[in-house]
Amino acid sequence: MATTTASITLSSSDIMDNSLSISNTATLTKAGTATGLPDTTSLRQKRIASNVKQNLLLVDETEATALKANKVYIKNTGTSTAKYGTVGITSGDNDVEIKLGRLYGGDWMFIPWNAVRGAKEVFELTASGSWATNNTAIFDGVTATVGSTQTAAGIATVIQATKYRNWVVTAHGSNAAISIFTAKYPGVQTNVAGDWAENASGALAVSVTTQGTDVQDDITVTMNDQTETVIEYMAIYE
Amino acid sequence: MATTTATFTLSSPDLVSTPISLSSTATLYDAGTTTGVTQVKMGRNEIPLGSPTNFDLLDATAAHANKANKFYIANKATNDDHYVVVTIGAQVIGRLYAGDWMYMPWEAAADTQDIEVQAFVAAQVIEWVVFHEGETLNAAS
Repeated sequence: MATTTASITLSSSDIMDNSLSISNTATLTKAGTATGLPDTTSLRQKRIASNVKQNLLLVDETEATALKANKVYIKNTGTSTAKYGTVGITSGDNDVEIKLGRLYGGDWMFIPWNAVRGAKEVFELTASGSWATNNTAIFDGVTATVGSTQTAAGIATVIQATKYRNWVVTAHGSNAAISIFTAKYPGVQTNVAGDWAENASGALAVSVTTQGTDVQDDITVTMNDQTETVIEYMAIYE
Repeated sequence: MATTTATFTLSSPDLVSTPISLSSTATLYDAGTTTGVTQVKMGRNEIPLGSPTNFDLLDATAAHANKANKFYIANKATNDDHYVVVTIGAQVIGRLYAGDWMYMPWEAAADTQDIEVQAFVAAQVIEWVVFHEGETLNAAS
């Protein structure tokens, strides 16, 4: 069990008539326990020379468990007090970004991280009928072509041997005519009615078994300037 | 002009094979300047358990909008399984378990960026500080 502590001191001798000094030390533990947080990304750096939103810490790049006591540290290592990075968290479908705030040069932040990841969509593809030579099935920008006349099970085998950009295909455990498609990433979804294009004597039917969602607590940063800035960040998680 | 600093230290002898000792100190300025931040609010509140569930802690206002605001929240609970969920608008940031604290910038540009808190398992006391700029007193009505 690791022992990790995070301390903060907020100090000012003159923001009020009396000195301000607030200090706190947290021992970073797993949710609801006294066991230390065990995992970390270690300290990373991202060089940003763009004023376009950048991914900083993706939930899928860590094994952080959602809804736990995960923590994230981020620092703008720049020295300019005029240049800043706006830190955000993506939320919901279409990667809508909720802006947290601005880290100016030298600023840092330390926050808990919900680390919710979206669900990967899963659908079953059921082949039927007899497929003739050179029949095709187009999906995800990839064309599967039948080399010789195939049964429904045969076309399923052809499809399962095809490499798709955003999906992993496996065989059904008990029905040879069914292929199981699992999205590689949350947010990849299929349009049941229109994503498949067949030029075939047989047919394909799609049935979604797990609806994919795009809710993903990815952390982003958007600089207000294109001058190269180094952002340091680190997650400590369970 | 006030001089206010926020210092962070992270240390661990065994999280990875080499001991970690990370430290950073930021001087808090008004947005885009080297003028020290001059406004501060702080408080200590108990978050009730139950209904209503979410409570406004910090209201985003036009005066705060798009500035270099920072806030700090500490959960003063001592039972390991007690926690407070902190949200910004509808977006959950994360959970502050007993003894945890957080410190972050706050854009505060819209009502959707209010800072809200919700207690789980039991009512819990939090302490908070916000450094900001641009706020003026409202005329009494």
